Amino acid sequence: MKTNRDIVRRITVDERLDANLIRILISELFDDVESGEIVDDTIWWDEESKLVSDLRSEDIERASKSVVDWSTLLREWGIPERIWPRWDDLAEGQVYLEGAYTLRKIEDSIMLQRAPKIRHIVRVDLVPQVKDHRDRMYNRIFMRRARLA
Amino acid sequence: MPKPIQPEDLVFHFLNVGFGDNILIELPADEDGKRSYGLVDCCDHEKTKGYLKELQKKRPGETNFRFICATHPHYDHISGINNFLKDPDYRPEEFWESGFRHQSKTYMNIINSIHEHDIKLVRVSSGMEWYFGKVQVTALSPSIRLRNRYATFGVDMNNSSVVLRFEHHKEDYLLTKSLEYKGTKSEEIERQAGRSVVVLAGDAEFDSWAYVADEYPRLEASKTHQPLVKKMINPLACRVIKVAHHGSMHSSPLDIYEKMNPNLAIISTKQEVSTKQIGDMTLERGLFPHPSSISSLEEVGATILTTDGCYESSTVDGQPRNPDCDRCGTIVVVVPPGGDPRYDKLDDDEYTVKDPPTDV
Repeated sequence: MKTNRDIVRRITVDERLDANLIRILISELFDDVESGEIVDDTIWWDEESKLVSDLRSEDIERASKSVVDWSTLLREWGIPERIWPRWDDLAEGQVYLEGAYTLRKIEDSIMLQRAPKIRHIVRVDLVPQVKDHRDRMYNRIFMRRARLA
Repeated sequence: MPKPIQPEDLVFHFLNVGFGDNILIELPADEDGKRSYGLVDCCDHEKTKGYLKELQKKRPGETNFRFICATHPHYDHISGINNFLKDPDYRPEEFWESGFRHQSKTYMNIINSIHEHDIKLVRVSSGMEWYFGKVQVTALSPSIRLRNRYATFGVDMNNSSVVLRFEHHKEDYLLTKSLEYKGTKSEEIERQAGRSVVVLAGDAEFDSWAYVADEYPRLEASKTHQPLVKKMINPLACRVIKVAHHGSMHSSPLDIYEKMNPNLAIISTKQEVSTKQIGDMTLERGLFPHPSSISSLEEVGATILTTDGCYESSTVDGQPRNPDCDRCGTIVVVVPPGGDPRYDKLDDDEYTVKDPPTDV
């Protein structure tokens, strides 16, 4: 049976809707993937959205039923409090990898490898390989059309 | 009194999908009596496909889309799009987008599908135009000046939104343009400006509207500036607006609504309440729509319709604001060529597909 300890999640900050409200997107690494390039979209499940808030749970419950408390969520995932991303620092476009894994640079690629004893959360959207991958994927559409013209 | 929808009518279906945008557009029928479609944002592909199938039982149409537009890459606007790009029965001729690149997997899936299936990608900026018979579509935003700042993170995703203006002309568009230059004054053009216009505002916020106001000014008639006399159309005037960003606090400033002067304002939403601490006071208010946005729309006299019914069912002196529409549901807007739009509200929740109307 899969436990929380086995799960590796890719968390994207999609939109800050209000000072107290953010939509995040969560996708989990496929169960049978032990390692892979972090920019490889085929190793992750499709994303699910979740509204999170920094308000206390009782205040959220009073205001909305579809919102979860950010600190409760991180606690449920088993992330040590000392490494939680600060609420005020969360901004759209950020990507975090959460879970038990290591990252290793092999030639020009950043490889993710499951590593059960190491559990952490790391921001990866500023890694050049991640940014470059997105832009390369986008631009190749225009490059192909230019070649066809 | 409802009237039958005619083959030449342009029809917008603002699907109730909860918190998200999902606008299915029925373009007027071609010579064979078949309609074609456009899709502006898609949050729920299952509901969209189910609704489209029901629609085609009432009015024949091609299944593939003339265009699919992702106004910007937030999840509540694009989560259903990739399903259509992958499906050969529904694949669009063109995919329109703002050029803002997101890091989400949902966005990357779309980019991969466009490449894999060689779909024509159109990076939209203000001033671009398309024509579908008598329907003229103009991009009001994003301004090229905003687009050039994407990479510096000086522009957030909402402000990159594609804002589209749909005008359903009575006559051929070129004929209308020639009327504009007839003599020195055309009161008819001025009077009719905005009459059959619908603006879909994505999630554009203040930065975006500042450029729209600058690039699409209302130029007044003047005796001393002859060249301006001939340019009297107010390009922002419209009868219907799909309110930006679910009616949030920063969705649109009042002066934009004054320029638009809409009769009908549609807010696709599922209300979220939030609290804010100001000193000792805890302010609790709805975010989508926000009271400031509602107040601006009321100020210009627009009828407000929400897909979750939160505004219509809210009470004043114990009575719902709009008892005819105090429920959640898809909103259908019919725009005859050159005529005033009319609307209907269905009574579907976000998970069910309602029979599309034949009379509105």
